[in-house]
Amino acid sequence: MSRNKMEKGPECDIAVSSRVRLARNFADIPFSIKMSSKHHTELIKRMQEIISENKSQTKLMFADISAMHPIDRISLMERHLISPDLAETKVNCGAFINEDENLSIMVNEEDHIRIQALFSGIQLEKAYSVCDNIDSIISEKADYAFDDKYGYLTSCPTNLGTGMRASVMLHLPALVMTGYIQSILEGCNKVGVTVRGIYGENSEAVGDMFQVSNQISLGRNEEETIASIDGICKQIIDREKSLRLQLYKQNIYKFEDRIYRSYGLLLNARIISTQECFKYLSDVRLGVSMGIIKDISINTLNDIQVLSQPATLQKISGKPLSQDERDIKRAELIRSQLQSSEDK
Amino acid sequence: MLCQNCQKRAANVQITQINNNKKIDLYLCEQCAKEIGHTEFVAPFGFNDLLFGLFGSQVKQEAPISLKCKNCGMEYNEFLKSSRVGCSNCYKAFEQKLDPIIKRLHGNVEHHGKVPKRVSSNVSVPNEIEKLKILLNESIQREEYEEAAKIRDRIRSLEVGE
Repeated sequence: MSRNKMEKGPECDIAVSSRVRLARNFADIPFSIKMSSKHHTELIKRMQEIISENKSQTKLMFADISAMHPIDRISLMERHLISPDLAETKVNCGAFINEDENLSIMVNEEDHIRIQALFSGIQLEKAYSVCDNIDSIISEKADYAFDDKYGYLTSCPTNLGTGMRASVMLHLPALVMTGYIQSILEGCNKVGVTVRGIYGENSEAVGDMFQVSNQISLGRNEEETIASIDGICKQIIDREKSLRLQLYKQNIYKFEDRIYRSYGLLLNARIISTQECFKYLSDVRLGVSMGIIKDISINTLNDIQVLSQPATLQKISGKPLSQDERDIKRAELIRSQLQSSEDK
Repeated sequence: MLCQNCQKRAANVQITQINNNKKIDLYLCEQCAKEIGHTEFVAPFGFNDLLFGLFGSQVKQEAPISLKCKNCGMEYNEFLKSSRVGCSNCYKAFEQKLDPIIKRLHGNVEHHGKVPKRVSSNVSVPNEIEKLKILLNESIQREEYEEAAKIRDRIRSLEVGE
């Protein structure tokens, strides 16, 4: 499994990843809600031609999502390479994914195509530049649906304008512990910024992970949007850091006890659910980030977070597993990942 | 997170059960929650409903609307239910109705940002001017006045609509 070739980005202990996605539609094909199966097939063919014609860019492999087993589809979603909607859709769909697994182009999602790039830490500018580059290549070959007034025309009016969503996944345990997260959530709403769970809309913030993204895409250009999300995230990170220190100084034994207990649980558990795993991972991540736990890396924790999810776990095992079997397999995986990290 | 029952769909319903004074939290998808019989907790209220609130808020006060997009055949009422337009032409067909809604959504109705390569657009002019102004400042700071003069002339010609 070629996961986490991701290089460590700035602030990657708190800012787990930065993602930019661009929603694009072609002018001559109806939008998703009015598309026939013929249109779906035609669109995939068109994108395959555009991608194969271009030799200069990084190699993109086509993943035929429609032909995939549900476990493989969900595993791609768990690795944030495709959206939950694409993993569930019944229409003919696919995704172009690069070797490093940080760039993907989803075809036949809510919009004709959704280009997305994902990098470790706070790296929105880099993620945008990768998306922008591939977007320009595609726009040389085909006409996008575009309007002078509304910008890029999208299936849902919420994505009009740049069609861009820039988001950063933040790990904010201290803000959650102290309850300050609530005021941050409210504050973000007031400035046109959304805070959601790890898979976006309707998903929950598990393991103290929050996705901060722009709400507005019309009337602001790409650079302005990225600068505002970047600025807000840096402020939240600073607040989280100072709270962590305060909590630590308030009661060092209590703080370290929580972290080491969670570490001990992950190292020794024989049966563990996803929910439990994420909860303890959050404490251990906090410990690693603060230098309390020194023998494991943030990358190992990122690996565990991705690999221990139900579908990816079944994919690694090469067979469907019952819930109990998954919980046992997950505990095994966590132990081996942590031990091999300690050995290094 | 994934539904704890089917482990396939995203969990969007949280159910808290109290058994023998023990609190158990269940995270399920709507389908499993319904199947397990927790329909009372399943409020089918998501992003689409919120949008409908926004898009549909005008409907009550006005006579029924029979706008239709000639290109894809979508009717305005159909859009209100799905919050999705049928094609690029729908934005023109429903412009009168959509414009104020889009304004409320984004606080703005003028695109500032990237323009696709094969489109000749007026949007690109202010963008170009903005970028040139940054370059102008940079060249002044570097004391490259010849270069600055060229950039200044280019800005002027764009401003008068070359």
